[in-house]
Amino acid sequence: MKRLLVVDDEPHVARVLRVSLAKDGWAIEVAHDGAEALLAIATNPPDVMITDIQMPGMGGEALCHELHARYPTRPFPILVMTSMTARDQRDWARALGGIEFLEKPVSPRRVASLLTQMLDQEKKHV
Amino acid sequence: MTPPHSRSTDRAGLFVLSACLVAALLVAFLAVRQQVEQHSREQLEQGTRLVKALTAIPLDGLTPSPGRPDPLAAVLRAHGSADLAFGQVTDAQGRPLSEVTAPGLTPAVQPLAADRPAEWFGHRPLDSGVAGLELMEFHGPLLRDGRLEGFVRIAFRAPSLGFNVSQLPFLAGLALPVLLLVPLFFFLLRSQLRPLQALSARMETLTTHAPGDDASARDVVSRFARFLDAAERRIQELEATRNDSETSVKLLGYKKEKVESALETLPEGVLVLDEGGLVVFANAKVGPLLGTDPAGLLQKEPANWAIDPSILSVLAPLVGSHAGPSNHTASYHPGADENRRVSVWALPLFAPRDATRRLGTLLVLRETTDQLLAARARDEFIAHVAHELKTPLSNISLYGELLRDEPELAAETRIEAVNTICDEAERAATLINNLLNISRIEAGSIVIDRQWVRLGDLLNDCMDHLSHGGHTQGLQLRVDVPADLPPVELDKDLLRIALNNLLTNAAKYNKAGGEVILSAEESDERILIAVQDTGIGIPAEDLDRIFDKFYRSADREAVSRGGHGLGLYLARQIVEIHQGQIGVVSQPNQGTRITLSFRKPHVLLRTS
Repeated sequence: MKRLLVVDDEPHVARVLRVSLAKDGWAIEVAHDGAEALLAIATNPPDVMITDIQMPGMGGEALCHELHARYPTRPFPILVMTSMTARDQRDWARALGGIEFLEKPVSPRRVASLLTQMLDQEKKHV
Repeated sequence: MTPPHSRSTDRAGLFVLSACLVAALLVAFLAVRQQVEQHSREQLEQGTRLVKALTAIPLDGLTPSPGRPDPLAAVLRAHGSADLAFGQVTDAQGRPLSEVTAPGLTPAVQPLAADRPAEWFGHRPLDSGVAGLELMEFHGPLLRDGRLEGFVRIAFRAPSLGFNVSQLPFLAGLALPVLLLVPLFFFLLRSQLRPLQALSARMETLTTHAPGDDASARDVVSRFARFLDAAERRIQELEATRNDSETSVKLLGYKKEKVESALETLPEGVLVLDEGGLVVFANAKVGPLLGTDPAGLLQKEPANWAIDPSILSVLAPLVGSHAGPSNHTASYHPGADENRRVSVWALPLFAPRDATRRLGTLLVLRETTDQLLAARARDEFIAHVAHELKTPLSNISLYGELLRDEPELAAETRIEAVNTICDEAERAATLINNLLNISRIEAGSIVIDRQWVRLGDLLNDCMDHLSHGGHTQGLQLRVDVPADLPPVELDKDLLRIALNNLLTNAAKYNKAGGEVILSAEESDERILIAVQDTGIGIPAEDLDRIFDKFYRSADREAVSRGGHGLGLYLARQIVEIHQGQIGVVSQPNQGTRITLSFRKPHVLLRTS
């Protein structure tokens, strides 16, 4: 069972992915902001993390920086999903590395294929 | 031939000559008189001095005694004045003790009063005994130990205007220049008068048009007249040119002042550079934009005052000698303050009637901080709105694709998907409507349309709308309006928008089994409408800002229930254009009460 951590202040992405990714063997966990995600990762790191950028409290960008600082070896790939223009966000993501971008609105199928792809790449790296 | 007027000229000459003689004689008379007066003054001084000298000699020393010559005669002789005519020494009673008298004179001596010492010293005229000869007597007392012993007196011949042999050398000295000057005057006068006589004769001939020998003279005169005319015309021309020049100078000065005044009045900073790039004009507004005194910029090159490379870059293509990228407009942040911006334009100046002749460069500086901040605010607004619109669209898309791609979905999931799609579509629509209303209110283009509204009807309508919109399952909805509440004059449509937003929030942030109460009441001066819920409440730190545009609470529970930060802002705008007030009271986990307060019409009238 592959584990996906969805970090979003809105419940819908997690709800839809839980339904649409179930048959691909993904188990979905939910965190509502960066701090909650850090807690979940510390106890049980996921295989892939999906995060929104704009969230109350710790946002997606701060979360990624924090993860990078805590885990320099980058234990899992990150997919950033945002309704903001991805262009504005690419610089910091590229600097950190290992971060994919998906602009909202997203299609569940596209997310599924991207997750598989990222996981494959990660395995090659390892 | 003698000209007819020569005799009169001679008479004039004779007259002048006589006048000269009279003048010379007058001068001579005055000179003699002057000399006589001078002589009198000298005699007065001399006599007084001599008497004083004699009174210093004791009486014994002045009286003759056997075996020695008369001392008075010796003293007077030693003095040696030709005018000295008489000398006498008397005792206190006036009896002569010694006397010297010039030959032929019999002076009538007046006795001096021994009892009037004030008269002892002095001078007075003395009859000489000879007709025409005046004597001047000087006398003084002879004293021994303060006691009067006698008097001494001497007398001089008084000077007179009459002929005197002693004056002969002086008169001769006077006569010589008079005799020499008179002929000299005469000859000078003659030589000076001759050309005038000739000219006068000529003019007379011309004016009387005497025929014959004056043809050449007329020619000369006509040439002279032509020359005079030409000269006069030339002078007039020069005068006209000078007037024109003066007018032009005045006009130029006026134009220059006008142009400078116009440049000073412009809201922009204006610099005028000459062809060489030196500043020839800078208005006062340049100062704060360049952070320097405009007067100090004159005759300076741009490199000396350009506080930002962008100024040089816009000037570079126009002011020849500077190399650099060419750009006729640019902007910079004065004082490296990112929140201020000054835009710079450089424009070539051409001669008004010759578009090929460069006169210099115009540099315009304008503070565009407002535009900068407005552009930033606009960008932020657009980014925010785009984000807020994309979020419901993204959710609609997510659930739509789920429905499309997963035919085997459980009925429960399917219903949730459809409901979410409806909710998110409504959320997007509400956002768009709110944005439109806010934009109209902010632009001031909304005209408030007050009508008499029965609040009971309006509030029930709004609550109906809420109950049909979903999200109210398990909530108790209540409208509480007194039956006797009088109609209120409000814009019904705007108030409905405000109330719908408030009711939506009251339902959205409520708890299962909670309550939404919409009520209205009146006081003496106000109508109060309240929307009360029993929901999650608002954290105290957010209460001050919940009516701000785009403000969202960071409270997790509030965030999870959506919202775009415009509903309360719009409600406040609507209340405020009714000159009303909006207030909030909230307890976290207990509920929120939002109150709209409007002044009654008679209060409005009274205050306005």
